[in-house]
Amino acid sequence: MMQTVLIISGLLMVASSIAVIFAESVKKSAVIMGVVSLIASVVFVFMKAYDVAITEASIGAVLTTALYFWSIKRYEEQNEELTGEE
Amino acid sequence: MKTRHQNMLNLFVFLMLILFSAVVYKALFNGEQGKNWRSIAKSEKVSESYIYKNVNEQNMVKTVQMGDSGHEEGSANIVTSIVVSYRAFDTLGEILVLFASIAGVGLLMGKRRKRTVVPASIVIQTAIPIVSLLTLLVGIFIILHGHLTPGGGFPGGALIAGGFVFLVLFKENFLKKKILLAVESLAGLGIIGAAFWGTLKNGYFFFNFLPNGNIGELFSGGIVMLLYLLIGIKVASELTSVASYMIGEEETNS
Repeated sequence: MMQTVLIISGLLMVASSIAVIFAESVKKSAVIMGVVSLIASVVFVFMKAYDVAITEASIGAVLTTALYFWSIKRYEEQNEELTGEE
Repeated sequence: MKTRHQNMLNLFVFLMLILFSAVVYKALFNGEQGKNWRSIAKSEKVSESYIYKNVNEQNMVKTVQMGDSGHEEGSANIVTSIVVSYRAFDTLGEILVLFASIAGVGLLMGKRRKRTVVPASIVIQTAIPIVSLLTLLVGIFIILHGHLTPGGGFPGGALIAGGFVFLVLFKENFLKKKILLAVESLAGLGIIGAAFWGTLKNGYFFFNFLPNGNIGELFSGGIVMLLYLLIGIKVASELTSVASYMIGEEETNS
């Protein structure tokens, strides 16, 4: 039971990490990175490391995704200012 | 923002709140087999299942019991007693690393021109206050019970910062950098002050100068609860100030 859950979630993590590279846009890649962190926190729960699971879910899935989105927004705005579009 | 379905949504949220409070009421006052939070025995509480202080998984023998007193160190699980009590100096180093990274973010991130913001959709406007309030509550619970259950200052502080990030989605530009900086500096000074107060009392850095109390109660564990409270406040304000630096708009005096 334990081993099958670990193997399935590990395969899911590997598959979604590969999907990060082949995603269509950068925003989709950021969301898939958050999904990887979420699966990792489930794995931590199964390994009975509850505090690490909470930290992974809150930092990896929420704060890091938000940081990615804010930096993407800043990059797009700078591009607009450089090219003169409005 | 008014739409056609506003009344239906309000009614739905009201019904959800009633259901939620009924569940909480039943768990607190009329639980299984007529037990409630006053009559339950100490050995049946949730935090009892985390009290082992034993790393050997083959034979899980309890080295401490609920309600014990007079141990060397009063927190209930072994990770907390290592991280905050025996190796509190390492935790001080971790906090300094976090402080250095936030200082770097504040140095690099410039200000951003203020733009017109597209208002959030009605799903977000309805759900975000409830979700962020629940997140803040769970974070405060984890910080306050750091010496009883897994978790502590770092996970609780990160959860509180996540709740504030949700609130930023709801209403931008309400984080005040000066208040966050003041809170963070006060918490850091409190940690250093507690360490030096222990030095004055007994000659050791981070000496436990508070009474240990009984294991399993809320106010127990000596200096651990105080340190986890200060660490939680510091981590929460630091990660929230990262969010406010990344937003980076000029503060308006409105």
